[in-house]
Amino acid sequence: MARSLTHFLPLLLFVCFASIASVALIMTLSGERKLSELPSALIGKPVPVTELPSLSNPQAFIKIEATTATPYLVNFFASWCAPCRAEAPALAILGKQIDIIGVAYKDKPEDSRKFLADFGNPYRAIGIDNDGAAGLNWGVYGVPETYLISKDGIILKRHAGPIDGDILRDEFLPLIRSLQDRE
Amino acid sequence: MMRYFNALILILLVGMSLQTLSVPAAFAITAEEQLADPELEARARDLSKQLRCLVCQNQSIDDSDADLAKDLRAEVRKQLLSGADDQTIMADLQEKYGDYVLLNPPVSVATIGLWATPILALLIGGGLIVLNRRRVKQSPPQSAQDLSENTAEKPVSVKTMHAGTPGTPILAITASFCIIAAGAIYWFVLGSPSLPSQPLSQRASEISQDASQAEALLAEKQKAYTAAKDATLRAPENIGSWLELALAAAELGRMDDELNALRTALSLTGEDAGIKSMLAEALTRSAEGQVIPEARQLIAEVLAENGREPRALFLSGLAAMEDGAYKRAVDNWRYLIEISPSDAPWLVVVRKNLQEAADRAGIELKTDSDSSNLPVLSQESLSAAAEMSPEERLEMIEGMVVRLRERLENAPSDSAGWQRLARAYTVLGQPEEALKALVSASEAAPGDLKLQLAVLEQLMLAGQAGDRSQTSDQALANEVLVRALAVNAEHPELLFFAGHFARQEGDKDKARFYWVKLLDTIPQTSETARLLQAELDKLAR
Repeated sequence: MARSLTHFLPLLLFVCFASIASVALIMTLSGERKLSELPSALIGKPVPVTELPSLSNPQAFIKIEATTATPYLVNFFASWCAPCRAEAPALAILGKQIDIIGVAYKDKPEDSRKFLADFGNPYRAIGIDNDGAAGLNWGVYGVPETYLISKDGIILKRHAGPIDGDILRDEFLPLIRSLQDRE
Repeated sequence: MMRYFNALILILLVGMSLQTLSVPAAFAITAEEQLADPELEARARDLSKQLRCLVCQNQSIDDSDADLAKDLRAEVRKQLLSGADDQTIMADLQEKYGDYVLLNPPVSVATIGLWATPILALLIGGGLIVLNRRRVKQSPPQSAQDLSENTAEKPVSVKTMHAGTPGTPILAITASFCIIAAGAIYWFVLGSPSLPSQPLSQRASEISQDASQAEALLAEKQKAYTAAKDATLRAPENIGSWLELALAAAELGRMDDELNALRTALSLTGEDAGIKSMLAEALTRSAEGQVIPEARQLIAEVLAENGREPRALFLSGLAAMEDGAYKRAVDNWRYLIEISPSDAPWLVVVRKNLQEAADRAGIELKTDSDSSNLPVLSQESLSAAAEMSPEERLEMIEGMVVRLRERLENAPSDSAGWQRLARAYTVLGQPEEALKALVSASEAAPGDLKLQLAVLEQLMLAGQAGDRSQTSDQALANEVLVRALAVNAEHPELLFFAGHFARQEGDKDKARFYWVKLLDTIPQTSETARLLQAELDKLAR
């Protein structure tokens, strides 16, 4: 008995390893597991308090604060970013349901303004993050990135990359609706 | 066993030391980023090597050229200057970007498996070896029972056994050595950090070469455009040069010029359907995919004239999609796929669009696998043939026919392919080959009654022309008749052929049987009935 066990143990271990590896491979191939999607550190944590010069009035400041009256979105965008153009329609829809604060990430103000004129302005307010310092505080690793924040100032969701129709329908809208129903 | 094991450990150790010895040669950091204080700079470099660039994901921020890596390097240095210690800086970045930013994952519940696996593997492996050795010592060497067991289990290994050791599966050891060797080679070629870096500055010439190539291509397009424009100026009546100008303008993205050229060409030809659909397509492109009213008008005109014009069919599907008439779009594109040659270049796009339309309309598409990607006799190659001299054209078609034939001989069940081959042979003026291909097509699709009838008709015509061997044709006809009668024994045309070939064979009774049956199915007063009756009377004599 002991003999047969020692014989089969390596095989057993190999089978375990191979099945884990296969599951991972299958999930990757089927698109369920996205290699480029990174875990988010800030979910469930309070927003990093951020103060940025306003795009519409450079003398004034936009403040992203710990508590607000309603939940809201924070969207990092830039005029030089092609996926930001792709998500413009989705943001336009979202903008009708919830406040969106835009952060123009490493962008020239005049370019940001032209971008908004061309692709629509879904934002309630826009801050200028000239050197990407605010992005660094939020853990942004590439624009566009969108955060959903509860009225208590807790980050509920983070989406890196453009919001397409599926993500809008399956992820953002239900979550926003449930937040608003709760009130 | 031990010897092999030792060798294995040695290989692993050598590999590891090589890895630690070799220092990556590439640094992404630039001079202006560096701190003046060499001690702080050294700490910054050290920290950077432990932080992952979240864009490139398998490089440290010290290695990476990405913007984010640069920002993170600046952040590390900023915090160092403000007097933070290494732990604080790492903790701060970990809080913002998560554990993932650390190239050395921390030991936690989530990562314990990662850290424990090597230790576990060593323990288990060592345990197995110890167990094995102990058992070997206990059991007397080469006992009868042991030997018989070994022989039964691993006959290969008996000869190579060391005295006293249990069977050493030589195959397994060779295999594991091969795997390790292959891994080592792979690592030295592709994975080793000592590989020379390919910094941007060294690749500058390569990049500039690419750029100049792109420029040359553009210049060439520009030249083609100018030449085409000149040609239209010299001969404004020549439709071909206007079409060429349209193509050249399209290449350059000069929408207005393209539209103008197509309009001129259209007015020169009167109402050519092909040019109309080209114009409709150009209009749609210029409206960024919207099928504007003018384009719709053109499409309607083209389809009224020729309902099989692929470009117009495609666009009309697009227009239907735009109107939300998904069902109509599905019908349109299905029909287009059906009538297109199976290697038409537009099929990929049409199929994709069809899928989308079907999804929106809630229609389940049947997948047909038989008519996909056959590389011969496409619309495109045929239109290319139009520009050649007659000899060249013939040669090209013959080449294509040979290729098609070779392919079909390997996949004889492709009935549609055989039918295409038959048509090609007819075009080439080789009726015998055409008939052969047609017979193969009918064999590949025995349930296709129309196809069987076509073969019978060809056989009958060939027999009447009298230039073929009667007996082999007769056998062939009988085979086809059996197949066809199995599908539908009442079909009038088939009954006629059955009677004809029975008479030709000399079997008058059989011929009479079929023709009488046929006579019952057709109106008694018709001309056919009268002729058939006359033939029957002749048979009776």
